[in-house]
Amino acid sequence: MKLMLEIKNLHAKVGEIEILKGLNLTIGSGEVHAIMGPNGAGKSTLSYVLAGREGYEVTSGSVLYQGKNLLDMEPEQRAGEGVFLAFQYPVEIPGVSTMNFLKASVNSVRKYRGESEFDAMDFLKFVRQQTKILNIGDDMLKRAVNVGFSGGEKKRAEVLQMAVLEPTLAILDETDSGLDVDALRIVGEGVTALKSSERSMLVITHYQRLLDYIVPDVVHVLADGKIVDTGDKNLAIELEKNGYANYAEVAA
Amino acid sequence: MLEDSAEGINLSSVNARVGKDGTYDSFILTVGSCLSRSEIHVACQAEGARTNLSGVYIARADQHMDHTTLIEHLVPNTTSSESYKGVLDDKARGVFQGSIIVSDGADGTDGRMSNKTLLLSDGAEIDAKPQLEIYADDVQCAHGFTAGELDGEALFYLRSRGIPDAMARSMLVEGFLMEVIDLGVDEDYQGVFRETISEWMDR
Repeated sequence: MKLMLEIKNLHAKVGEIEILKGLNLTIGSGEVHAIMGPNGAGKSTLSYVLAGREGYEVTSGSVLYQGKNLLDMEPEQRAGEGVFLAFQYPVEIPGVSTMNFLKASVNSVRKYRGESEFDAMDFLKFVRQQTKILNIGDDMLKRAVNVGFSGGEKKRAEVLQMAVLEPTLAILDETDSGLDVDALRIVGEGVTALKSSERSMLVITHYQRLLDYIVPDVVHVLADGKIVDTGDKNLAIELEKNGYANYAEVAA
Repeated sequence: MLEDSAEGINLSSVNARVGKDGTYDSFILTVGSCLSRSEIHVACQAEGARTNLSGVYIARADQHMDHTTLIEHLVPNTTSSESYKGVLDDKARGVFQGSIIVSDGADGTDGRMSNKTLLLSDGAEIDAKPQLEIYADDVQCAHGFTAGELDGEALFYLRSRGIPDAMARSMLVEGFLMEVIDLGVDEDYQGVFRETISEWMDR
């Protein structure tokens, strides 16, 4: 099996508070892993550390992505190398149209990867192939990035970005939060359509319901900054039934 | 558009009187000169009069840009809106003085004023003085003022999508300013202002 991501003994803090306390995780190429855990376990911190957000300081441990030291890279480099984070709370950017944002993003990444940049017409065609699947109208592309979007629209926009950036490692941070059943189905199908043997996914979620759509190969339980249990998809179903109470003791 | 040379001094003053159901619209983009002051005085002097004042200022080095406005609502049922946004870098200094005066008896006045500035360096400064003088009872007036740095969260969001840091900053600045231009400028002319802002960012 080819390794996609190899996290070893990762410690990270936000401000003075240590959130990740020796996290180990290995993801193979083409695998879908889910990380579940109670609030405050460090799920979002893990996703921000992997995407390179400022203020999330790694104090020890290592993260290798396709054999390269991920932690040395700027956020834009990580995107160029194929790492994508779908945000739990996508950020509003007034005055920048979704279309211009997507084009700047895709062309920056293509440039990084040594591919030719799209002109306006080719880009429109390229985007429309994806917007259809996600039920995104041209109207949404004209609006400013995430400004005034409903919860479902924001999450669909995240999946659209993921689709056009063609990542090799997609991290979905609570992509199911704030979605009703219909939006969940659209997002779930959108993500499932992007599954491939070349693309690994790390699905971070509090609830099992997203995993009905994106079936994981491996499920991990994250509690108090560490992976405390690992199993197959049945582990997620068990968690849904019994909650995280058993793990609070393990962590403490 | 005010784009004098770096040594230029530019002082301008506009007096407008708006009659029944009339409208006075103004948009100014200040980018040049070392010292400039744009002063606009609008009197809404008959019912249904309306004025929309908007502007963008972008300054760096030692530039000083002053936008001073006075809007008088002299009779009932007149409307004004005012929106100025600026970006200041290096040791540039911006001044915004906006006054709205609602005369005694000018009920049904609707006046809104907003001024927002992005400060790109610690040495930049904005001095803002919004002023409402209201002598009538039944009016709607609001003013808002903000000054701050680029939104770090938005910057990270763009960079996480592969957009290099410098380009992401330009996009955020342009986006911030384009909100005013989209509202205050006819679609046909928006491109000119957008280009001027892009060129300024690239310098």
